[in-house]
Amino acid sequence: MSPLFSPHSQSRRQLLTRSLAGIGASSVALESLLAAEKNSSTPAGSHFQPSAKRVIFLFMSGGPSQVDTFDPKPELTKLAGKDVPESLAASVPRIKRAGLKNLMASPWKFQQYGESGIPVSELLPKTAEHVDDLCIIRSMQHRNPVHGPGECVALTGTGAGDRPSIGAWSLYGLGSETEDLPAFISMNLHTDGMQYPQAAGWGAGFLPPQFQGTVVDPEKGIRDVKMPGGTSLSSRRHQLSSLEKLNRLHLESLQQHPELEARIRSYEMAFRLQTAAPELFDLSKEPGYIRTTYGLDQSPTKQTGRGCLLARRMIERGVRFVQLRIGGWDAHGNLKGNHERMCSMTDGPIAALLTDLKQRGLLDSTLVVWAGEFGRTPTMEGKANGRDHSPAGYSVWFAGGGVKGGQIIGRTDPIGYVATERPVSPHDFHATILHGLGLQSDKLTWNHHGRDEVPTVFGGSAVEEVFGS
Amino acid sequence: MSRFVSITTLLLFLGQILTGDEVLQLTHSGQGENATAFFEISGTSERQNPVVYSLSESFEEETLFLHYRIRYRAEGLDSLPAGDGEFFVFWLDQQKGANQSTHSGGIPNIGIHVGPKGANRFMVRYSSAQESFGPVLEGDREYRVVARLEKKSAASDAAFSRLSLWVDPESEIPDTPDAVIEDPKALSSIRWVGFSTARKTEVGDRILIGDLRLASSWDALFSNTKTSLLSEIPAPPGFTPPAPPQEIAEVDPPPEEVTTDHWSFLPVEKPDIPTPEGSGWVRTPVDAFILDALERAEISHAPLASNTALTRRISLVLTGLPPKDVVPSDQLDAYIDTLLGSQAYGERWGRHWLDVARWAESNGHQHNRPRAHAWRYRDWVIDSFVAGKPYDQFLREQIAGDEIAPFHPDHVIATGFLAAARYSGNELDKAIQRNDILVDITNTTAKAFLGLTMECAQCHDHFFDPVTQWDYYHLMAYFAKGQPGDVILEPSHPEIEEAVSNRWGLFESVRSRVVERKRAAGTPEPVLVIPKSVPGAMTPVEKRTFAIIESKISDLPKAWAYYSPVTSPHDLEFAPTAIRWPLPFQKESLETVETRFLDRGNVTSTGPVVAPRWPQVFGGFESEEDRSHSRSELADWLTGPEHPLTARVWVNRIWQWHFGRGLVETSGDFGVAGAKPSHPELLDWLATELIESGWNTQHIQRLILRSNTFRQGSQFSDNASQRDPGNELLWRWTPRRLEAEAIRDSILAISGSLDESAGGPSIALASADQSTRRSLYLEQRRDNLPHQQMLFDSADALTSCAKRRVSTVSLQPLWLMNNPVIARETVQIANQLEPATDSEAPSSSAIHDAFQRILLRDPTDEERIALEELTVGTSLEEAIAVLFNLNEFLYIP
Repeated sequence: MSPLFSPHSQSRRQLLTRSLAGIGASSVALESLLAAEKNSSTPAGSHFQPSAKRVIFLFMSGGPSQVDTFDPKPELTKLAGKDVPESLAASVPRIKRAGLKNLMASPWKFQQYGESGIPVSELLPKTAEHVDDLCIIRSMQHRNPVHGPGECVALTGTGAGDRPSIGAWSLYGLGSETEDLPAFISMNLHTDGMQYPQAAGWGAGFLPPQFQGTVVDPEKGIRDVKMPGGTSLSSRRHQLSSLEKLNRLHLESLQQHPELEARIRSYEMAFRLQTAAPELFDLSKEPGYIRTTYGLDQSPTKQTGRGCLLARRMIERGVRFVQLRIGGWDAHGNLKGNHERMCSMTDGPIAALLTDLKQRGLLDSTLVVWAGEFGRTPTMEGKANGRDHSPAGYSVWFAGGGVKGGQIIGRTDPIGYVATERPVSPHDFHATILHGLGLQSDKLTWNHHGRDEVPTVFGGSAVEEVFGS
Repeated sequence: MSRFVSITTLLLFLGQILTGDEVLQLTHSGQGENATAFFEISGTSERQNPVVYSLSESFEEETLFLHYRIRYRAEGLDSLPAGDGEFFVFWLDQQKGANQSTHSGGIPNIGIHVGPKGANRFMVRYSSAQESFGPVLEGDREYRVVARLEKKSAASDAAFSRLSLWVDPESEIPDTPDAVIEDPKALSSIRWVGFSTARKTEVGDRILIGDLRLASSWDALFSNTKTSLLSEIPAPPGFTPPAPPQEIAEVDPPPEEVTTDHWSFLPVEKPDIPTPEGSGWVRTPVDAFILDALERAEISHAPLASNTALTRRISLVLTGLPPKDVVPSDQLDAYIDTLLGSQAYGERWGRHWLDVARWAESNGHQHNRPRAHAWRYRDWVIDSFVAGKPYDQFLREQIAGDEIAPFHPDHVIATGFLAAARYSGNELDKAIQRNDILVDITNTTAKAFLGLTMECAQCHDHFFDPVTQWDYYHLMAYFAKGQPGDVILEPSHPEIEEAVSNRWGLFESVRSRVVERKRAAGTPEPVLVIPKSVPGAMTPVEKRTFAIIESKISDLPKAWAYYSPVTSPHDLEFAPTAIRWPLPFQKESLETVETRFLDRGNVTSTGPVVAPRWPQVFGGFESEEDRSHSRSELADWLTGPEHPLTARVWVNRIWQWHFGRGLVETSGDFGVAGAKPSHPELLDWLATELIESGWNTQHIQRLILRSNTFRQGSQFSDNASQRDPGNELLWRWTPRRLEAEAIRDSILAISGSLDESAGGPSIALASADQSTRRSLYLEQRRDNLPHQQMLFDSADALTSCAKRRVSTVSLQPLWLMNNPVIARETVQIANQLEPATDSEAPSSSAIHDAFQRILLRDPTDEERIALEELTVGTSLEEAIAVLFNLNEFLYIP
């Protein structure tokens, strides 16, 4: 593993005008390209000893309900049908959608699991078995109750989505580990209906484009890896060798055009990608028990199981940041039906992923993060037996990669509406992910418009107690 | 005094209705009294809660008395059947609600409504389904309204189930109320109270309100010693009420003088054209400036590029398409003239501008609703370039087209620039939603025309540039009276008006029926009904009528545009498109819209009202008289000959779109943090030349295209490279990669597949792969742009894009070698070159022909040898695919 280049040593304009070799950018190619410009070879990352080398971000788009998953609230059952008590209502942020009428009990029971005895909803029995490996933060909090901007907040830090995604920052900080695959891959599942994925979520913002995520359809794989009918591998080799010759002749006539040099190299990488990608997406060689535990052959888990298994295969092959976006949690009506469906879709595959990573010895070096863009209200929305959006207090979890499992951080009020203890902002959350990778969020800088930009623009510091043994 | 301030805060926080001198008429303000301010409320013909108070704590006791005085101005008073009557209530609720919230459904309302025989009467109710009426309301007469709310038991969670009303009672409690109503499901505790107006409360209605008191007994209500239950509205965190009472009448503090010596804010002065030694090389004044700088740096310019390179360069730069043949050197100027003003030129240069305008065909964010009529703006931009529209006019139509008289549909279409703002349809808070739109418009306008990064000033004074946070909201105020929407492109006439108003009428009546049904079923307030669901609730007859109206409206030409019924002299209609919760679009509503300073950019932290004006650093107004406060005023200023930025920013963009880099490298940032111009005199000379030529864009282009600077070859020079490694002085031509669109379009053009038809609705994404039209006609949905376009670094259509990036990622070669479009086009060319044979290996002559066709030149000997290899082991189409991947093809030579 070596970094793409040092974030401290580059001038923005130099970089933007000499665009560099991109995804899966091999450090070899880049270092030769950059040799002339580099005035420091300090790695971008490694502000301190990292506990994780890569991230699998399980992004639960739509907003899973905290009080029905990881934040049990017996009070809610007692107060069901009543309004939010005065004492608690006072602290509910006065934002739209924050309904104060008609509290709704969770339809599900909670049970304690593992040595830690952390309670998890009966919706997630398989994830619950891993509870001793999970660090649950129950006090996530921000102010944006709208999906699109909320998703941008959760993944980039601002509602406008005009900044780099957390995946892009991670890649910028640590560089790529693979020469064959994109180093940041996003898979977007269940994107139908009102859940339009926000491109900012895998965007590079003002960072150079090679840090942006590559969107991959888990069913179809990476686009355009299939050669046109009639083209064989050997004729492709012929094509590439002639192409390189002609392109080198052209470059000689111009001299000094790093971008053209990079473009020539990108064909080598493309060829490797074309070869590596089908292998990545070919699950036929996975043993039967893997297919079974990920649920590849059952209907509710088929797609998500494939996504989770691919995530594991990707990080095995050196992908730095895998984002699996699973949409559909937007339970405005019929919470029961929605969350039962979403959990039956995700619980098994996510648990299988954790087991699998552990068995392969990958969990220690892989930070697994589970989070939505916000949570849901403890009150009922209208009469529809659903819950509205609520960013005032919601739960996320971390696992693997140096995470101290079996612990709960933060607390919400007695009805699970508002984070009352150790509130954690999305910026803190991002700083925590970076911290897990050995990156200090206020030292990871990129000069943009004369300002040294950092991932956590509005402050934010790592929740350090997430890590440790 | 403290009481006064508390009300002041309240008005700043909420008041958009209370205007002018009549805002506050303080009567008396002794300590320990209830709220004592009088104020006047007008309607907006929409549901509004102009005045809201919070209680210091929830009230849950058994009995609550309330008192207020009301005087309804007679001239605004109408009753059935001549008018539609009046509506005005005081409500008591547990929730504050939003400005548009209806406080109904178990919520006590005490006020005025149309009663028996169509007369306006005092009224009490818990929901609109059942009302109890008191005496008739007369105009211009002050009434004292007293009401009592009672619980059946003293329990804190018992309902305030009985509501009684007295109008003009004496100080002793009368035996019988004037009206009584009961609701066992009423609320049990009260935290917020306020006044509502609604549809029947028109703009002209004036209601004087005052002496609001709440107390737990009748006696307390009429004694002046009882401590008030009312408390002031809590100010948002960090918000200090900025205006002391005396300054309320002022819209905002007088602007402080802002000065700067940053070059781009200083006046443009036309420099003399330099006289470099090598004057023989000077073909246009551009060369004189460039050569002068080169000579001073002791760098030689590169020799003239080949005719092949020049023909391709000119064609690609101007049209984004490759030429068919090489043009002889003595005909290049004429060739330029042919291309300038061609449709293909308009398409390429129009696309450049669409990047700047962050134009797209959907709302963005997660609903991302399509804007089916946004394509008209795209075509307007193209047509403007084709027609050689002067830049000042180009600017004016985009900023203020709806204000230009006489009416022309194109001018309205041009405001699609403003209307291209992104917004979330999922945003329930209308104030936030509207603010998001205005922020987007302000940022884009500043960046596009001024080259300023104003967005920083939304929350704080700009860190680098002489732009204050006040400036930001002043600039925003120019846009506040308008609204984006599908504007019908002809002046309203009775038929249109009728169709639109019938459509809304029918829609609204069904919608309120659904609301009432839901409310009756116990749905808590506010009852939301998604517009999309409304047609489903119609009776068959209504459905038929609705379909007829809708089809009438759908036949009318429309554009996604920006229109202000307040500042436009034209009477236009917004087509009733199904956006989820429509923003205000009626003249009456938009007239009352004000722009306020927002603390930290937060919509709920409102400061004083601000009037339209441009940033103070550019100087103020000599006089406030004769000011229109319209967007035309803004356009006048932007296109004034003295403006230091408009012309500089535009000629710099033109330069960038020829050379790949502007004279100011940061073409979207002329501020302090931006780059300094490489050739400041040339920039200013071009800027004055632009203005003197009547803002003639093509004139500037000719000066560039005819220059020897533009016609240099790409030859490398060690000496020059050492002295100017970045080629900032332009000692050679730097080849640059074609944009996404130009790559695809060029391939289609070379294969002969390109469908050159112009304009019209976009090609749906689903059929984009089959389409062979130019790329800019493919549907531009936010967050879902065509794959190839994203892959090759198109603008994201979210914010203004001044310059596209060039990434080099391995997915690009995959597209260029494997995508079915490439496969299809290479087969097509192969069939043209060698139609008869289907031999496995291509002939060297066919490959030679393909090379000639794609690069417009013969291969060199070395290349010929390399091409020979292509004939081994590849088919002709595979060989052609290789040629499409040559850097020489993909880069502007």
